[in-house]
Formats: sequence, C-alpha cells, structure tokens
Amino acid sequence: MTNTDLFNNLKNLMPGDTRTETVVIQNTSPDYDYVKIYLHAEPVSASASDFLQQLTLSVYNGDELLSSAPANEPGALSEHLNLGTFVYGDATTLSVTVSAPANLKNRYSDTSGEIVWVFTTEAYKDSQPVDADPGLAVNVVPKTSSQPISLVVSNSVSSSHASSTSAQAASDLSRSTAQSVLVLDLNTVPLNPWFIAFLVTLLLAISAACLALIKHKKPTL
Amino acid sequence: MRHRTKAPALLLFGILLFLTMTGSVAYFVTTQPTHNLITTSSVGIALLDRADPTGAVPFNSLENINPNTLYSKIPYIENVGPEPVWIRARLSLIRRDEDRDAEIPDLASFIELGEPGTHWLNSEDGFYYYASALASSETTEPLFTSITFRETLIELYPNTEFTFTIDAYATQVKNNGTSPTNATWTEEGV
Repeated sequence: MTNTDLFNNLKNLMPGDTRTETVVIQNTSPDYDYVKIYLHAEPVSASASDFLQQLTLSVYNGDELLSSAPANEPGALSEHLNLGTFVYGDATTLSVTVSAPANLKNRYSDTSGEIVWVFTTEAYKDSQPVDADPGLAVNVVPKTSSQPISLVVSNSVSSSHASSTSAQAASDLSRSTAQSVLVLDLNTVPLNPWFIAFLVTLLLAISAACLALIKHKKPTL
Repeated sequence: MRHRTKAPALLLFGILLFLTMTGSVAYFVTTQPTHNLITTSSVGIALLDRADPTGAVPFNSLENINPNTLYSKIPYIENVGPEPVWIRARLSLIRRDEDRDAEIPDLASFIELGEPGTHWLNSEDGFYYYASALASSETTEPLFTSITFRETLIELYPNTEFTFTIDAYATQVKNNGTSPTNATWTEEGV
C-alpha cells in the first residue's frame, strides 16, 4: 500500500468477492471561494493489466455512476471527469466497487495491480461560482500570491454507498480522517498554460481586427 | 468621415481594455496522483504426517510390514494461508511392480485406519471431508492415528512395495457454500 492509496478496503480479494471503498473529498480551503475538482485514471501498466482485466471496477459520485469497466481500463475516467464545484466545506463521496469473478484462476492469487487516479483541482477567487466548462470561466480575479488549496481526500470504508449529502459526507470524514488524508498543495503550481495561450490568441485576434479597421479607408466622393 | 472610421476601432480597443482589466480567466490549478492497489489473497495448507501423538516424530517409511500390526501414523492438515478454507483428503495405495504401478481398489479391504477423526466425513465420492471450516493457522484433528495392513494385502501381494498417499485439498470458504460437501472444488477458483 502506498501513502496515497485510497483503496484500503480493496485488499486481499477472493474469487466471488464484491467490495466497496468510499472516498470522501472535501474542500477545506478557506482561501478560495470555490474549487473545481476533476478525476481521471491513467493507463495501467502492462504487467498489471492481465490481472486487473479480470476485475470489474465501478465508480459512483454519490448516486451517479461515473464509470463501470474492467479494472485495467480507465473507462469514462480516461477523460477528466468533473466531480463538481465545491465551496468551502462542501464534500462529495466517491464509491468504488470492485468485483472479482467466482472463477478467478489460481494464478491470480497473491497478486496486486495498481490503478493511478489523478485529482485535478482548480481554485477560484469569485464570490459566485460558475458552472462553466473547464477553461471557460470568466470574471475570476487571479490571486497575486498563491496559497495552498486545502483539499482533503479520505477513506471511509463501507459496504454500501454512503449518502452524498454534505452532512453525511462531513460525518464520514470526521470518522476516517486518520486513515488516509491527502492535501493538495498549490504553492508551486503555475497558471493553466492552456488559458494563457487562449488569452494571447484572443488578444492577437482582436488587435488584428482593430488594425484592419483603422487602415480601411472608404472611397471619398 | 475620418472620425466615423475610428469610432468602431476605439470601441473595440475599449472592449479589449475592459476584458483585460476586469475579465481575467486566470485561476490556479494543481494535480495530485493517487496510487491505489488492488490485491488478492490466497489459500495454503500443509500436510503434516507424524508417528507419535506429540507430533515430534515424523512418519517415515515402513519396511517388512506385518499383517494385522498397528503402525502409528498421524496425518493432519494445517492452514498456512491467510484465509479460512474447506479441507478434503483422498487416500490411495499404489502397488509398485517392476514394470508398472497400479492403484489398489477397495482400500478398506486391505487396510484399516485407527481412530478416524470425528470431524472427518468419509464420503461416497472417495474423499474425506473435514466438517468445519479451518481458520488461518488452525490444524485439523488427525485424519487417523494408526494404520493396519490386513492379511489379505500381504497374501495377495507378497514382497511388494506400496506407496500410501494422502492428497489434501483446500478451497476457500468465502463465497463457496456452507459446508465442504456443497462447496465447489476445482483447481481453478471456486
């Protein structure tokens, strides 16, 4: 188990097992008005693929099914899935269910496979969160000095889907904080380069249009 | 007419200036990978064969066996894996000839097992099933504690070498029936 392992309850599977791991994600940063959180899965290694394809992995965000696929495939998590917009204190609960077939062969005993999930967080200074597509946010005042995004991701083992309400999620979090906590740090992260490129392109296009208008002379009578 | 041409351009510059000053789309972003492991467990057993009740003396080969003589032999099974298991065992007696080996059928006609364990169920399918699940690190009660070769065996096969074999099997308890006799026994999974 790594120190960023969220699958504490998905260990020592036996053929026929179905296990669920609950992961609570909460915005605990008071320095930003809201954050957007995205999740995507990286391709699994070739050595783990044979084992993981025997298993079925389903991911729920609250009651919404995000992905259900063989565990060696990222499924819908191949894209950066938006888990939502979270103001300070807001939380959501991911339920991860893995099923091992009853006829899982003996050669997969004492085997492990790693699944890398990447959480991407965008932090905004804006009193009114906007639900725009990634990269299309407007009226956001940039920070002049960066501060850590305090985003807590913790485990809460459960055999059934946990409630997705903030109150329940917060309760789960308080019980499980000691088990596994990740804090995402913004200190050394630059601005999104795609948006910088977008801005530059926009400025150049408008400037070119203005110059063209200035240079245009109507025929005099 | 020149001021008419400049008016739209100034308007566009104004919009551009407004966007630049008040409409920034900048924000901070960070990523955090998590390395999540899914692992499987396993089952494992050890077949132990002793010649004395304390378990200190291992059972060795018998030579020049005599009919109707009780020989101490105490086989039992230990769960050396992390998971609870169902256990079953099968006994066979192989007669070794010069040119071939042959299993002797109807074992009970030729050997007698002393004090068979009460937890062991002699099934019609040829297996002995251990009635209860065996937790990790636990051992079964002895399958039997002694073996006696009947006179019929010695008379039928004089000066013969035999191999008495105990094959022990384990399968998982989880998701696999309520007793060893209704569990699924395959070499590949449940």
